[in-house]
Amino acid sequence: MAAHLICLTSGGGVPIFTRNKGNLKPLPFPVIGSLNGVHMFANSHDVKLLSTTTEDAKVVWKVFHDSITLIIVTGDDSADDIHLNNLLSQVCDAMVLLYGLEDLANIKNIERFKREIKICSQLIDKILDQADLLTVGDLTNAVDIIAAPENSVLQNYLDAFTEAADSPYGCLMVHGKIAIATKRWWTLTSKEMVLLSLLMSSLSPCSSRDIPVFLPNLSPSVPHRLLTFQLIKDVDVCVLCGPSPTLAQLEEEVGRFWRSGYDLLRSLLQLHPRNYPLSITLDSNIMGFILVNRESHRCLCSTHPHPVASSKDTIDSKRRLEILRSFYKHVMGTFFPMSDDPDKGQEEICHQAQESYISTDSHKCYTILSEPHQIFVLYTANIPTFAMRSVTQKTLSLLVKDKHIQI
Amino acid sequence: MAYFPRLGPFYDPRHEQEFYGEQDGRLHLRNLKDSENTAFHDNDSGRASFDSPQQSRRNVYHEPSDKIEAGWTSFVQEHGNLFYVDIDGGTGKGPAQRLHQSSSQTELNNNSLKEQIHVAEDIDDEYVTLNRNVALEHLDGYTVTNNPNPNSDSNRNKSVQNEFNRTINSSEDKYDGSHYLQKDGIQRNIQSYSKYLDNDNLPGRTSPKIANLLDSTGAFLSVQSGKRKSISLSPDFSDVDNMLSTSGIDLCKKLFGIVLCQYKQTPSRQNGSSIDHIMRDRKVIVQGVVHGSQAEKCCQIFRGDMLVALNDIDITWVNLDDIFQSVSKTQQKLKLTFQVPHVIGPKLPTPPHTPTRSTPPLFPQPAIITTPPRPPPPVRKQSEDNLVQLVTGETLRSIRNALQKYLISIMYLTFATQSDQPQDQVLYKFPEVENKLFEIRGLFLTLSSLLKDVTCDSPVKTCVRYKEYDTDVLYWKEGQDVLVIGLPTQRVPSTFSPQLLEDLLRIIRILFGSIYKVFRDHTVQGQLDQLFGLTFYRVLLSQENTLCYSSGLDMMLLDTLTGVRWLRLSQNDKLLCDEILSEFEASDFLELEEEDKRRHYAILGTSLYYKEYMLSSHLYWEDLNDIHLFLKYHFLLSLVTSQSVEELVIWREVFPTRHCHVEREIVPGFPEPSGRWFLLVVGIKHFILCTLLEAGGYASDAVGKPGPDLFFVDQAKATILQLEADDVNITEHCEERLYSEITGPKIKTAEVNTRTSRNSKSEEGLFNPFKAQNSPRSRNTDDDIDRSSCPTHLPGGSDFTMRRQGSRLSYGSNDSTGSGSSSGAARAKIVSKAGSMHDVSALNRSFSEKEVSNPQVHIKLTRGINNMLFHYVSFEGLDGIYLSPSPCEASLASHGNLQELVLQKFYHTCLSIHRIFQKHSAAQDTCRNESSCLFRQGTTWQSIREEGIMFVFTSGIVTGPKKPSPSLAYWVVGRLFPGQQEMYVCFQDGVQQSMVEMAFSQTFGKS
Repeated sequence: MAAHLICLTSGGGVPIFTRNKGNLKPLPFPVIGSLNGVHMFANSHDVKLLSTTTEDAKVVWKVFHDSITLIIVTGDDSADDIHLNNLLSQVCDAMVLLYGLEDLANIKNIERFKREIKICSQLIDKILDQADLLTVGDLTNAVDIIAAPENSVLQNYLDAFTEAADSPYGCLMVHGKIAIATKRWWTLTSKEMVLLSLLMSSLSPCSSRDIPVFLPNLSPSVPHRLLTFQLIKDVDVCVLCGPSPTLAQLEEEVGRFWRSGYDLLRSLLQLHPRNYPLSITLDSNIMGFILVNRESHRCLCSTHPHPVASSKDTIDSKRRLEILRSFYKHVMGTFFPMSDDPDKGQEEICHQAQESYISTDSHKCYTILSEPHQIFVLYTANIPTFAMRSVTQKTLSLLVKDKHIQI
Repeated sequence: MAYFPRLGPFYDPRHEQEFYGEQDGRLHLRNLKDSENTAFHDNDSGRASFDSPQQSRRNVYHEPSDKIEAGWTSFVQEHGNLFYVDIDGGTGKGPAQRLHQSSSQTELNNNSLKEQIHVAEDIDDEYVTLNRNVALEHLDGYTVTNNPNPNSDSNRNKSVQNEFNRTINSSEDKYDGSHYLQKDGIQRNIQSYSKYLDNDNLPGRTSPKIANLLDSTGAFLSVQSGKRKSISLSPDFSDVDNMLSTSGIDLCKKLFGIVLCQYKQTPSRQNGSSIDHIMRDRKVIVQGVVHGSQAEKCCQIFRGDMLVALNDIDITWVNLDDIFQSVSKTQQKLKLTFQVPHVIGPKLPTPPHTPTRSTPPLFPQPAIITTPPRPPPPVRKQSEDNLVQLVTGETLRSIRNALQKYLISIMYLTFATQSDQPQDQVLYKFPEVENKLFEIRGLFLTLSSLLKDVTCDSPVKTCVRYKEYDTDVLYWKEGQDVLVIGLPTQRVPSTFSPQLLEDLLRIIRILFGSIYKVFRDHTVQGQLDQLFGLTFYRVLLSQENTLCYSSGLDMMLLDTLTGVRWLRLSQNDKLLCDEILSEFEASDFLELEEEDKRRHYAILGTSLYYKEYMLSSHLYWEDLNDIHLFLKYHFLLSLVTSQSVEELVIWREVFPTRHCHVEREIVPGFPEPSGRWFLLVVGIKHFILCTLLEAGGYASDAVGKPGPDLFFVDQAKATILQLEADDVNITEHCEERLYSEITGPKIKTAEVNTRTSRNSKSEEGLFNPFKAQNSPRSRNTDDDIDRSSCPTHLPGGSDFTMRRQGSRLSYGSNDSTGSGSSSGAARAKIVSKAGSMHDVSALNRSFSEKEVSNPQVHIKLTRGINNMLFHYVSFEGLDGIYLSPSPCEASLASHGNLQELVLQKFYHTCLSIHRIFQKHSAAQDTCRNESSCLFRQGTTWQSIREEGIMFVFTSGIVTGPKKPSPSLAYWVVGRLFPGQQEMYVCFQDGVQQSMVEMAFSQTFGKS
């Protein structure tokens, strides 16, 4: 996704940072100034400038905490503005996560702030880099999970480990997807879970790290420590804890707790692109799906539903995810209400959309909302349109009822 | 000449009793051939009158018009179509009805006066004439009743000195003096008019103005059906040698120049009394007027008039000779009283030319046309918001006030200004009041130039929020100029607003040629105000007052489909329309043939509307879209839909898109001539006839700003009136199409469904056993009817799909056990409907008649089965037409709150789907330079074909402790067919997909 992201101070319009994704040249300073200028001009007339659409692109302005203005310029996918607003909120929360709300809301020394906020760059780039993501949590506001049969056994390992770390918050992550987590981890807000997952996948792999994080909802001003340890490649265990124990102390414990689970972790990792148990066989026309639980804020996404990729599949995995994302953006907000959107929803109550589909020459999509679950399925073009409904319904119940999938 | 379908010879003595059924001399011309398929079909007395004139005459004579009336009431039209109204047969009608008729008659009379009230806008070539029925209501009191007893002298003695002698039966008049005053006013008008006529009545009548007036006067006379008129003429004795030896007929000819109709055959002499009787009953009819005689000069005696009295003495064939011989001895002026025939059928705009040329020439002589006359007095309105007021009934000012509660704006801003004054940036703004959007205009101006640097393209839409209300601001940019339009998002969905801007720009281009110039031209800003005022009125205000069943969203969806709503007539009727239009387009009018000069205008094509439906178009599709936009944005379609328009004439120069705004490919061979184009819109009642005229080309070049060409106006009017002739009667057929149930797929209301869902389930169960036998049989009947023209519609095909249904891979088959049977039954029904929809030729009346005559089949098809279809819209982009349920069907189905909500959702969803369809089919077409579009997205939906959304409505009512609250699930499905055809349907969940597929493919003939 080609995009410009501009962050300025709301009061003075001082540029703090800009991020450019895709093959875009950085915007010249006067243009940035004008983009912010129109917004401030509108503000001075009590008018809120929300967004502007051009033939191909879209510009969205948003102010956070009365302190910073975020402007994003990106391609227009004719989806609802809500998705871009969501993206900007995520960017802002990412800044809170790593920098703290207090310092963000009251910028005292702009130059210092400009220097220090750079720690967020990696995470923000990850958020903007939607196309390269293997997860959809940023879009659905629900954290990605990987549902492996080994999870139930591994849960004991994790519980024991977090107890040793003297922290109720702990999880096991595979490629930024949560395999298992402690009960308290699930009580984090969806925003926090998603951001922590994104943070994990944004950081370069290392055997252990200790990062101070501000939880945007639970403790925006008081930092926690996020301790992560790589168990095997791409599998990390994360613990949120207070001042103790130290990273070194806990690092010593890792081997003791997890060594016996090595084989389990290997097989867990094996499941990686598929993300759901091999025991479940889905319809051969299914190319991918996103299953969201809106209450528990977990989602399961797979674009490799079949163990042996058949040769006739013309759409590769990355493109499949792109289509599913695009389908999600298309129907959510337009037809289906977003759960955390206060503006809409009132009128939707009496006429709630429940199912929707799109059919094109190369693929078809179907979604069913069955509270609290919603499933988005991508089919090949071979499936007859009338069959999609029952196949989707069966897929949904198959996935939801499976004992290994804790969604 | 104009087309007179089967209007027989004007007078034939052998059929005189058919023409003049009563002694009052009303002309009852009817068509024998056509009687079968008109409403007379089921009226025995009506048919009897054809079969045996004698018998019918007796009927009429003895039972004063009771039966005839019963047969005619079907012709009495809501808005007082005069031509089928029997005024003096008061027995069958209540006073109210008579009042209505007479008022309508007044309107017509008045109409002919107002006909000339052309509202001319000096600043441009636009002339608008419009009489509204409502405006004439105060004239109700003006009742001109027919004399029920034409033989009574007392009535005739009342005839006033006025040339147009109306016999007003004061004893019957229920109105007080004030009404008489009004009436007098009108009569004075008429008098002054006739004076006007008389004064200018020069030999040859070369002035087109006069000719036109004469035409209108002719109309005026002809609508005085059954009226008396008295004309004073002084006899001319120069030719008469011997008064007493000359026959009455010859005397009449010589003294007054009136040729009476002679009877060649004498009635068969069966017994003496009958001859006398027949001779007495025979009417004295004017055959013609001698050229140059007094009768011709007075311009009031026409062929077909019945001479009833001379100096108030009744004239019959028995006493004709005596009376003429006796009264002619006096040298003074004589008063001749004529009875004007009651013309059944249209006002004859061009009475047949007789060899004697006794009727006044109706068309202007060519030599004079070159100087188009100013429209004559008496009234000449000229005000800025005239058009607005005429079409909406509200002034532009009141519209502006009403619009103030919305944050709307249209501004034309420019950077190209020399001065530093910020006000100079604004070249135009609507409304005048400065609102918030006006305050922040700098924002839009900046954005429009700034975003070029950011995204390499110009902005389309900006969304701003002011006081919790969102406003969409749309841009149009050219050079340094920006046109911005602000619309409230709550009222105008953002999926619709881009189309609105596009249409507005197009209409401005059509009307004024160039957008760049028009906003700099201060003389046309009044017209722009009108256009924008009307647009906002249409989009924002018009649905506020009326309780629209889908709160205006339907209008918006239908607007985005840049097509013309088409009413499919039966092939016969379509052919008739086409024929009539072609006749007009051929423009081989007699008057033009005699002309040596080049013609002034060439007719490029015409299109005919009935209410908001296009009946027939002979225009290039782009021109048609231009004209359709013009009508739509000037509220004219809504106007003729909602009420019957007395008369509407619009004339203005246009700049058609394909001539002026699109690069034309050069076709080798025939280059299309360039010239100037004029649009003539003539509306009468619910009809609108649009004519695109070309000056230049083979016609002569237009010079200056020519006013309306009265000749074409008249011809257009005549063309519309032809459509109403009793044997063409398109109105009736249109109404039939609009209000019959068979026009399209039957739709149903959502309301019933939730309430009776349980009952219908059980009913389905009952009907299930019959289903297997019923549906094949009913299919066969369909096939019998339209097999020839519907090759894809084979019974075998349906059997196949039925079998395929058995796979159970279908909508709703999982969750509902009852749906299998219900949808099977419903399928049969939709198929039958779809078949009728698909097949143009099968849609003639014989089809519908057959269906009606087969009530058994019909009932079985419809009864007790859940029809699942709620609503549909189909759009063919290539042809630029669309179909949707007629308002009647819609209103039948929409008597519920729920249905309204469902429809609202339907339209809202359709707008979104349509937007996606448009965007991605457009993306396919335009292959733009890669470097210029930095943000071009992936092609996820490029080959989109179909999209559907299922909504569930849950009413919060809990009916029982264990039952879940009733809910209704329905689908909104849009499908894009190859060739830009789009179709949207709304149906209840539970329909088997195979049936939906069938409906899609069968209904519009695409597989």
